[in-house]
Amino acid sequence: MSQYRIRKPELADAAALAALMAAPSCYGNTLQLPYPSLSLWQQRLSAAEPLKHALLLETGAGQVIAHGSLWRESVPRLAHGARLGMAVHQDWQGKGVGSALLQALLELADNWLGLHRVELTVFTDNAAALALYRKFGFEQEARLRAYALRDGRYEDVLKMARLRPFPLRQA
Amino acid sequence: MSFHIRRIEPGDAGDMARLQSAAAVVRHTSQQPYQTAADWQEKLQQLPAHCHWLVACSAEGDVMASAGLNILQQARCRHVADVFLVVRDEWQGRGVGRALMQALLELADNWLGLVRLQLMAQQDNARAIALYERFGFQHEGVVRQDILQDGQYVDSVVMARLCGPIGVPR
Repeated sequence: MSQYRIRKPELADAAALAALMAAPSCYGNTLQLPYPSLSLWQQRLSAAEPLKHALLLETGAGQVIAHGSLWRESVPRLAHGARLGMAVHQDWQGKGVGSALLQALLELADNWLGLHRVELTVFTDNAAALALYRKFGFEQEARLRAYALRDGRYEDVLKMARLRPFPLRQA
Repeated sequence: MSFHIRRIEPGDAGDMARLQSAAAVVRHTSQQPYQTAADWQEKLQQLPAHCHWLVACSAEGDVMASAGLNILQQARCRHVADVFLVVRDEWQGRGVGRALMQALLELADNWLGLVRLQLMAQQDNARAIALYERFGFQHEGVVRQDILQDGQYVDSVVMARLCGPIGVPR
């Protein structure tokens, strides 16, 4: 994985993230819209979001090819959980990019945020994403019917979650 | 027993604080014990336009139950709303919850054009689950260790009711 670097996105990454999410496979399989604007991403990257923990992955040449984030729940009784979302550039799928990014996000969740539960939703036909999530221990919990509009149709999504794999240890 | 249904108002803050912090309600929602009228005053004064909340009031004007729907804010999920219903303990089993849910569903179906109404219920809340089933909510799955309930992480069931032709936006 040495040819990739994972880091926190900065305001200067707005154009790269808008370009990444402008790909149909990226906006289509998340809950984003076509034609993401530069200013939308500038807004997202400059907003104070204490509950959000985002990471991006770039190539050795500095091209941003994947992005993901954890959103902690704000309601106190749900604060042990977070929602995860991620997208990988379609030209870079099947090369370990998604695995590297997801591993980094889950290490954050397990070891530095102390989360108990990480959940996500995924379109039922997104085979690459489903395989990735299963590999990292996510299990299907529910099928949410007609949950999101995608290219003119209300599509089902699967709700998946991963519970913390080991208890927090005391030093 | 007579009651009437109307939209919630900031003046309901005191009643809502009492209703929502009652032990049985706290247990089966994501609410906290110990809520104040001031908390609710602030919340109700700033209730956003995508939140449609109703109350059922007794002849004396006391709030006996509340139900509402919050339309999801992601652009691709504007046809979906989260639903809630709470009924004061002493008014359980007297048709108030049913009447309120009926009113809310009519609002959703006939005036808001929503397609998917969803909710989560704690697994031990059999009475609520039975009511939701009666109104056409179907079980979609179980969310594990979803919510902290009196010192334990407990599971929730996901339920949803669809309206309108599915697969084709109206």
